[in-house]
Amino acid sequence: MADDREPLSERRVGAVIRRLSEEHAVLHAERDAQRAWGRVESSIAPTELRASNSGSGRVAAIGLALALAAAVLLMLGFRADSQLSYELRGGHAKGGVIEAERGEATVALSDGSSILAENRTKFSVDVVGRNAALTRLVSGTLHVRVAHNDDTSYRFIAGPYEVRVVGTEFDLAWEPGGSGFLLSMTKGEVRLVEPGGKLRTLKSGETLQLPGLAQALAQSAGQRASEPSAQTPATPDATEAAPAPRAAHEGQSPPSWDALVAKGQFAEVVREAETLGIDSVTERRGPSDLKALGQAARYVGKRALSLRAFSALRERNRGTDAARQAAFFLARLQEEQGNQAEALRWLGTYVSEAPRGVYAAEAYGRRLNLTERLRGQAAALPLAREYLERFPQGAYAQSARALVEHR
Amino acid sequence: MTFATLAPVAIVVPSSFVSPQAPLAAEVALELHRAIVQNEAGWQRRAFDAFHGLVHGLLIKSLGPRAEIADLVGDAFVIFFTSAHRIQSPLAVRSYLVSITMNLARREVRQRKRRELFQRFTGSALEYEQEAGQDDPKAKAALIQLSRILDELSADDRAAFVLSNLEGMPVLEIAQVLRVSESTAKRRIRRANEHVLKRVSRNALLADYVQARTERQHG
Repeated sequence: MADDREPLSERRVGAVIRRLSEEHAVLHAERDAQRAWGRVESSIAPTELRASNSGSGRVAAIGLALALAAAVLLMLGFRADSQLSYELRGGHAKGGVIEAERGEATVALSDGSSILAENRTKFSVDVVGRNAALTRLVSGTLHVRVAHNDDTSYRFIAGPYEVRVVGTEFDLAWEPGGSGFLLSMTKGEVRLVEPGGKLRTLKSGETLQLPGLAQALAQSAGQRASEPSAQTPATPDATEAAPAPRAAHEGQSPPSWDALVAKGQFAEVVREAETLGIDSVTERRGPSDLKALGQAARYVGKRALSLRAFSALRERNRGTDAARQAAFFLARLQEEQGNQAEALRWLGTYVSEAPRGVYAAEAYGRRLNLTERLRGQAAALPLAREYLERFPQGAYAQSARALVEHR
Repeated sequence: MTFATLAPVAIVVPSSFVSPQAPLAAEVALELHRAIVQNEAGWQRRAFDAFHGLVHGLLIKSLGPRAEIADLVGDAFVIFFTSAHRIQSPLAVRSYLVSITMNLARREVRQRKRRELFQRFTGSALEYEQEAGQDDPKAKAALIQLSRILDELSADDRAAFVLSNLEGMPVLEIAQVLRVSESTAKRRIRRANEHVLKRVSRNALLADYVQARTERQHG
């Protein structure tokens, strides 16, 4: 090797391997893709690959797939057995919400923790990690015992308040329109995050009472508008000024609905909206929250709520990108509900407002299909020509071409 | 008494990882995830079309130009299709597939090493079916030689090398994909780098090729 050259480095070697591999991959991509897909088809039942949306066949296929997945994941080192699970005794769960109707209900978790709900208490529990769960108290009283593990992280949301736990015992009551929030510590220590992001620490024997939903939100807004030193009424000895660096980290506001949707926590967004009141949310929340709620509700199958969110998004934010995109989602929702004419109207709105928008290709294609279905080939023909001109390689190009050639 | 299993299993993969080479727009990822969750007709083919390049490329980088790559790509997607509904976050779809692919690659490397050991004991020859690649014979030879050097690494070190140097993934994300601590990931990357660099430096023709190729690329 010549001495005046720049020395070899792992970066240069890596760059060459990457380049050579990519060149090789390009040469074989098409052939390998066909072969790989063939292998997929020979390994998974065609019915499963086509997918259906209902029926016992699907349940059986999913069951089989789950069993296969479990076996494969275990083989590859994923530890499915490490997940939290729970038993519900004495209450009933509907739509993700647990309700204690006739006496107490108990949630016994696999890590040894338990949540006892008093009669008439409504709440939900979601796993968010190996030893982490998120409980939403809609109303009522919970007696909580959390077993401590190294990675324990339990969160309890009661209206605008959040209690963070790593191992402890306490009672938590929440009546949004009445007595408000009551946290009474039996053992250990918890952190409480208030609506404005303020952090408190509560220790064994301490009790804290805070106002209900409307007052808490008003106080939080007042705090933001004036200054951070305004105090929420509380038992004095329960209040603690958290150390600044820790507070800065732990006292962050709860994640935005956008962030929750990005993490796939759709049910959480919907529940939070329902807790706060749908009317209030659709009237007051900003465009990103409304979009997130619309998407989350659509994901969990609450189309009526999704329609409300996207409609509010359009009405309250005219002329914005978010409002234009809402037209596309309204079209999708209407189509999913079988309202093809209404779907077509919204698709028309979207393509006229955002002809080069994120969903333009899909919107033009769907508009073409729906027009052909509802108004016939003659009406669809100019749309097919327009589609081919704009998206010659698009997903609907084949049907558009067939329509044009048929004429 | 009702028994309930809480939520879908949280698949632990770095949701923030978006490859600079092939970013999937958040909206597209969201749509694909929705299709997976709702088991929409044809979601598997959509996912295959969106991610075939990623999986194919990762396996070639991890295992070299072998004839069985296409079958392994198929296996990766079969595993993905049977478990994708457990992915909770739209942003985790891609990284979950990366995890599956790298686990497959590591398993394949381990199996090859076991087979090689067996062949060595039995004295029989062992030759993997190398694929013809580039038209340029120098490039073809270089890729095969570099792949052989990577074959000398352990499965874990090789995966760390591929993710770090070939995929440009940050250490934290490598640690998450390989399910090890950050310091372990760093150690593996360093060990693999040292080995690869030493072996390439000792091969004058290969070192020359790397030098020439990188100088050509940089201008």
